[in-house]
Amino acid sequence: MDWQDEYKRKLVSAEEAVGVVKSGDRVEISIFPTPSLLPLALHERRDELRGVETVMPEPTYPMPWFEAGFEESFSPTLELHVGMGGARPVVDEKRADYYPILFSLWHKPHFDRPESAPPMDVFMCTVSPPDKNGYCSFGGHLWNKRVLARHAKVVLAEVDDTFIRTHGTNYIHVSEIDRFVDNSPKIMPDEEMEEIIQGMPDEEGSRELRAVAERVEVERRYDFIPKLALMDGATIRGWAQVYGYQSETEPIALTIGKYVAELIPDGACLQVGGGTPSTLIPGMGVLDEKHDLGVHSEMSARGLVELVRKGVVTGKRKNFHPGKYVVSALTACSQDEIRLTHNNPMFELYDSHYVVNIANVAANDNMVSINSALSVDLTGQITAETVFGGRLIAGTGGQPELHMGAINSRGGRAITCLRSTAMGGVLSRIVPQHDAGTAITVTRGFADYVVTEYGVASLLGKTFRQRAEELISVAHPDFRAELRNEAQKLFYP
Amino acid sequence: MMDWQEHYKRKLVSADEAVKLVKSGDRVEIAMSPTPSVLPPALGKRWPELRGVETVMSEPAYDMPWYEPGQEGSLSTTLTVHVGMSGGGMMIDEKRGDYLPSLFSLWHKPINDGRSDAPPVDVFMCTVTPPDKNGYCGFGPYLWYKRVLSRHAKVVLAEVNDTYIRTYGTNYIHVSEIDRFVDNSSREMPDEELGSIIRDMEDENAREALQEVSARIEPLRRYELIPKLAKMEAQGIRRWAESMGFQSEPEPVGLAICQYVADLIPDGSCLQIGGGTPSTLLPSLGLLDGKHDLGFHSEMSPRGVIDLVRKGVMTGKYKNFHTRKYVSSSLSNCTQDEIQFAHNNPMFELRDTSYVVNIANVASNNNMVSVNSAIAIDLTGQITSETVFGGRLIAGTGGQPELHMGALSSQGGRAITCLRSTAMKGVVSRIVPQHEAGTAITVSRGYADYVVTEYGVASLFGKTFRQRAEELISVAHPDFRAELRREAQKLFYQ
Repeated sequence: MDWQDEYKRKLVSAEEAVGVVKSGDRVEISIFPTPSLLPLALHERRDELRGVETVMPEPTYPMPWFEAGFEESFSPTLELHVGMGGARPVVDEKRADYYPILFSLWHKPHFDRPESAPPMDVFMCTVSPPDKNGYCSFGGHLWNKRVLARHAKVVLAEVDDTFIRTHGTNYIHVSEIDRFVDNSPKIMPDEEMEEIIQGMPDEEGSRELRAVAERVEVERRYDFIPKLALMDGATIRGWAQVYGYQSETEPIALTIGKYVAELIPDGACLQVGGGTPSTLIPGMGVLDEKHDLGVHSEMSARGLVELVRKGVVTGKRKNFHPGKYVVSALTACSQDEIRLTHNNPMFELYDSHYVVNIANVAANDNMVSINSALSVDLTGQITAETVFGGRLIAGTGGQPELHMGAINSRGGRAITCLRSTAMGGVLSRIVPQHDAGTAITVTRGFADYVVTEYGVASLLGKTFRQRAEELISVAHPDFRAELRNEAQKLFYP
Repeated sequence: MMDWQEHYKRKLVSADEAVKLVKSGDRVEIAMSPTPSVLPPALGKRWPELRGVETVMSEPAYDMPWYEPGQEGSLSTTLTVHVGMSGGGMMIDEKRGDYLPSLFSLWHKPINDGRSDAPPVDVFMCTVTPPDKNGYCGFGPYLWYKRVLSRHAKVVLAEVNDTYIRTYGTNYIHVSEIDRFVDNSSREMPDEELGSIIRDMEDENAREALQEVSARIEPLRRYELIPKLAKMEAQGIRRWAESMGFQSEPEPVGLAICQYVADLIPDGSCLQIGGGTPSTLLPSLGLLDGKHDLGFHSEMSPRGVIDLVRKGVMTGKYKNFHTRKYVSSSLSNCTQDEIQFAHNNPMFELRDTSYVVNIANVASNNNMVSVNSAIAIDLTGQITSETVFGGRLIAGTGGQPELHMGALSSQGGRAITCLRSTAMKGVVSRIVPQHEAGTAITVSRGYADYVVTEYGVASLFGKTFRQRAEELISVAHPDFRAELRREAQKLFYQ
């Protein structure tokens, strides 16, 4: 059978596609974009299914079985990131289990230890329609999907005909996918959007959503608007910052961005992490005067592709994939940026475990990693995962590997940025010691530059006392005296 | 230009003369393993005339004279990497010393990269062999990072020990790169002198412990070890002996752990074995003797590994990085017999620590298996081998993080962490629900892999919080399992 026939035969409805899921299966639902039809169709089978484990990173909307009462049919497990889109309550209420995993090693059990690897019975993802050779792409969102698809017993794919094609390892053959479900986005009419916004329960929420909606590209409205309509105003604002739809860069982030920019020499190869404030930096204009930057990054923060257009990012001085812009996803990019990368040979999307592999990251000289953190203690232990001890806010993404890879690169630097305070200034993010249960994302031996709106603390090669001094000098002035007292107790007789 | 013989002759001076090169305000690095034995005391004598000299050292083998209160203004103390078992740990406990948290792979990065705020190395003190016919000295069986540091130091002061072996690898430095030489060759301590030191010990238990341990210390190492051990208590002596491989017989808990570890090591794998207990015991227990074609790529060499080469167990045949070579940065814990075997033996290459523990290099060997020890682990898999009771510093990381992560990143590789299930004679479980505030995490939970106690193997990699808790509780001491289960219920269930 040629692939065209195969594709036609496998193209079915979502209901039919999820018919392959059996009781007791372990079902992986891919990272961005979260398939939008398949999970809902799966939920319709709740009465006949028992003990299906659903595993997902950062779902962009709450799965219907996150509501209490469906535990016997579907158990939720989160991995990597908890995300903003509805998994938060199931994690906080401990109704879900959590996989602490790293992008570089996510699939090691499947590669190395198949006998003890968690089974991959069904994988749900989104792909482009096949090309003339029968290959689909994962659009601007490759991540780890090709790898997962190869390890899964059954692959179910939604087909989005707006997905771009890129160079790299961003392809999968029709024969490797078991069921296709057409789900190309339609454009949401203005009236429908307005109806959703007006239907929101509280006024602050609808005000925030209206502000953000103006900046969401029309072709992404169905992706974002219905999900945003479930959030409150503050969450929408936070989301807009992360995804680059904020109206303007808030001044603290801009100040941090300026300090970070001073640490980036011409010719450096950049990695920019998806948290705030790091993700805002490429779009702030603070890098526009640099020369011959390169990119080797798990994901492409909004504005980074734009720097290619401006001639700032050339990749000319990279020694690993020279001249190439290497990422595993363009998820945070604007539609404009994504279109620029379509079939553009400068842009290569590679599997995330390859991109964040420490040796690969370190293979570029003058690698500079820029990531965000929640908190750092006076010895330099960095957490980007938990608050108040063990409360999980995020997974690590590729941060540990990219940070360690950058610092291992010749001339490389690992920059961690964070606002000096949290919760409206009530808490210092620079703390004497982390609370019990805190997850350490980057250990103190690897701590390098820490940037707040008060400047740059340089920790590598520094003693406890010197680190404390460096960090206190970039803490919020309101907390410096207290931190100094604590440092005195911790590090002096 | 002066030839090297001439240079050597002119630079060979007394220790007192050599330390005259130290100036007030200097930062002085003192090498680890072995700690130079005549230069630091000579420096200590100059304290009344010196001001603001920072001494930086890892795991000093004896107490520096400037630890005495009142000398801080002249000679301040900074520990780095390991605090060690002697008074260095006390200086940190009492917070009279500062601590530089550094990693073997990145220790010298600031200076290598030319960062403007790199800590200066004004003076470096170390120990070398006499020069060979080409004017090169070696660092004996103890290369570590010493070549790298010598090259960055403005002034290098070296004690010369003519009993040191020579090895292949990067274990050399030219006479012209050293500024002063001080003769300090090891001598054998006569049995009578050993006997009188032991007889003079006041505590009977300690005397008995040293008597026992000293029987296994080679005469050539007596001057280095015996006087320091004679100042310790019985328990300290026995713990030291165990960590250095001088114990009479393995205690049963250590043996049980190593048996489980041995089961996790397939034929053809490449080993790294850490210097802590119980991991350091593994090679000498006979548990690996039935394996085939193991390889070695390790920061240091515990006692018994070189014997595995002699027994034909370790061939390096399947290594894909430095194939058929035994790669290490030091032979510190080996027996004199083993060290002699490595002398000018082309199979053995001593390379700079930063190179050996570099994560990419470690991961270059397929089926790399790291075996390291830890102090405690929480139910999510966060491992500390540095602190207890929150932030109290017991040890630095050594190369453990990089070797662990490198092994796990290696194709087919495994990262094994071993620890006794309890501490303080069974009063405290080393498997804890959560670490206390201030705990230093050595290996983050994303990298946690196999955890071995005397009760078996917990496999954490690719597991969820709930599964990890279950795995770890099953290898916790039975006395603590019920409590851990209750805590796991609170932490990970509704």
